[in-house]
Amino acid sequence: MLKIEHLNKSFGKTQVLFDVSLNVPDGRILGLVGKNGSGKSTIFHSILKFVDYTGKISIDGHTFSAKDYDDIGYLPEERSLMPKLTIADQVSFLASLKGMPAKKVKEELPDWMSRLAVKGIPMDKIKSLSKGNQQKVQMIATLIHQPKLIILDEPFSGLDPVNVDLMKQLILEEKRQGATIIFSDHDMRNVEELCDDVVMINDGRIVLNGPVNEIKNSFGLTRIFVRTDKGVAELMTLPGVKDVVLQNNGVKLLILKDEKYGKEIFDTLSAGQYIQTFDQEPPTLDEIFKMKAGARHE
Amino acid sequence: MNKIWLVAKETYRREVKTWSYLLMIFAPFLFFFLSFGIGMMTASNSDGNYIGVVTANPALKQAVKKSDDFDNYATKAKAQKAYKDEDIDGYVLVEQNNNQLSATYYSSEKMDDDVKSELMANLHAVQQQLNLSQAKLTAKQSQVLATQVKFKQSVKHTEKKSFSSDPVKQISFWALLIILYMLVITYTQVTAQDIATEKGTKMMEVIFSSMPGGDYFTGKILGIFGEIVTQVLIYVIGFAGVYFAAPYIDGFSGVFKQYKPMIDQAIGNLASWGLLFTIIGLVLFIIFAAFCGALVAKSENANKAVGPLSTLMLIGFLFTLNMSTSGDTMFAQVLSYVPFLSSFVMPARVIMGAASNWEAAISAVIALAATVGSFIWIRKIYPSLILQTDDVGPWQNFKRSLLN
Repeated sequence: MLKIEHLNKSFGKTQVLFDVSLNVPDGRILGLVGKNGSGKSTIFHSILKFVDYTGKISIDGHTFSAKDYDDIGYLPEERSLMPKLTIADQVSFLASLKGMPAKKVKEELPDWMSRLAVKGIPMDKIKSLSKGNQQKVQMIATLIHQPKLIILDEPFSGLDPVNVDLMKQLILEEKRQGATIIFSDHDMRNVEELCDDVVMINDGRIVLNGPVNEIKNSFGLTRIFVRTDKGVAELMTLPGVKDVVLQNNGVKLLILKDEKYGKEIFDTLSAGQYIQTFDQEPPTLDEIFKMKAGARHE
Repeated sequence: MNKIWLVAKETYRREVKTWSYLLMIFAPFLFFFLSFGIGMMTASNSDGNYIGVVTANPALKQAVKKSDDFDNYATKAKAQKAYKDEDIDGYVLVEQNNNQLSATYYSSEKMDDDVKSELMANLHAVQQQLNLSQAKLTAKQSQVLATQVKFKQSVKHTEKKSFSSDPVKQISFWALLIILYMLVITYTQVTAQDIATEKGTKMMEVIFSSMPGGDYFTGKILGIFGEIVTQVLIYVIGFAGVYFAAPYIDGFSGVFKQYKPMIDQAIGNLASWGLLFTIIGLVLFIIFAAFCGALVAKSENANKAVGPLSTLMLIGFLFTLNMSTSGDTMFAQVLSYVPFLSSFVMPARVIMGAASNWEAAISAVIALAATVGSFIWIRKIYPSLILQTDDVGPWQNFKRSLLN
């Protein structure tokens, strides 16, 4: 288990992390979400000892040893490879730094390239690949040595939807094989889809921390998606409705003061008749984040 | 394998495979062989032709046979034909009348003075024999007349040769200066460019997630040092090849034998303090070149970043260059203890005979301490420097790295 306790970090006089504590249990995926500059990358940099900090970061009960770093796969936010090297040379060098023999890399690389649908052969130069394929090669370099802890800093940025799905499948596959994964993302949908746990960070402070479902449910089933002919003004008169938001697909989103109004609203809108869409949900992580981030600024 | 060695190996492998490195290494050889080849061709065109000698005198024929410059021809007609065919530059007709030799040279050009001296020496020797036999001297008289002057040299050096009058010192001085300058200017550029390019790719975070940045820095320096050792070794092997093969190369052996004692002394001068200061100086310059390369965010700015270091190197070079005329000034004495500059100035002072071994040793210790101290300090801040990828300029980058 990765454990961060009371992590504080300052650059000169500017403090960027304030008493950050979080756990990532073995075999789970934790999503680290927050705005740009909120401190997500600094948390990663602290885990990887790129920066000095105060507090304690441990893995399986002990501070990181050189061997533990060999068991980390890290994909940084700013991705790039050495353009003049071949795919094989690049991956082999990075994997060798993790203790993986070059011979094994040579054996496994074609299979990885095939799994990630990288166009080309291992002896192709990096510069000959498209940007998307270069990102995939970097993902291969991150995972080929079968790390136990995987740290991904915005792994989906710059990828098209097809490749995003491919990456998601890969991440879930790594989880199935027992890896512990921590990743950051701006898109809360990805976090909701992949993560077991989520940590929301705002201005260097954790504002929410826990299992995704628990967090969402703790905000109650205060969102109703309904397909109805009634106008916004009329819907606003329904009991417990705070706000009405028109959705793209003709569905209207009713935001409730409390989930207890759900049944009453359903009865009113259906009036005993068939109703095509009525779905009562907790708020999305995106909404929760906006609420929490907003609350800190108020 | 130790990760430091992995990085050193990768750095070394990546660089020595490039065309620019191979060209840099082998350019002097190409230049040497090209000049040597042209020289040989010119020599074969000009000096390769012999001078024919037509004589009936057996003693002279024997002397001609042994010479590199002359060839015997049985008749004047044969010599004339050879001359016409441009096989020989000219021919000498040696006739003997009443025990007196007379020689006439036929050619379109005057005979070379050295060749003429050799011919005249042989002719004199033969004439002497003829004179002696004609004089009908007794054995004792012949022996008396054959007595030669005994000449010995007893040279006592009352004072050391000055730098300007000692070619060995001058050769050593210039060789050291040029070798050091070439190596330093080449490898500071190579190092800064390499580091800045890597930093520019922004893949250093991935590498530093596998090993401490300081270890990576150590590996880089070792790899670059390996490149230097390779280059120097290739040159040493190349030079040793020429050194040992030269006595067997026609047209080169004479010159080599003449200058061999001088070359040996110059090698001795270079292989002592010169070598030590070159190594220390190179490492120090490389460490700071890596530092300069790590200060910039884009590889194209590497040359700009290494500017102050190049200036320092140029100061050392030009100052030492000036020492060949100005000699061992007080300023030179001071600078010979200042790291960076001492690598140029101190070995030059030693070669000039202006500094003792003790002075050189003290300067070497200071330079070594500066090198070790710089290495430890830059090794410590290197990861922070490399991870500052915002293009805020070298100075801001440096300041930020200290805050990490």
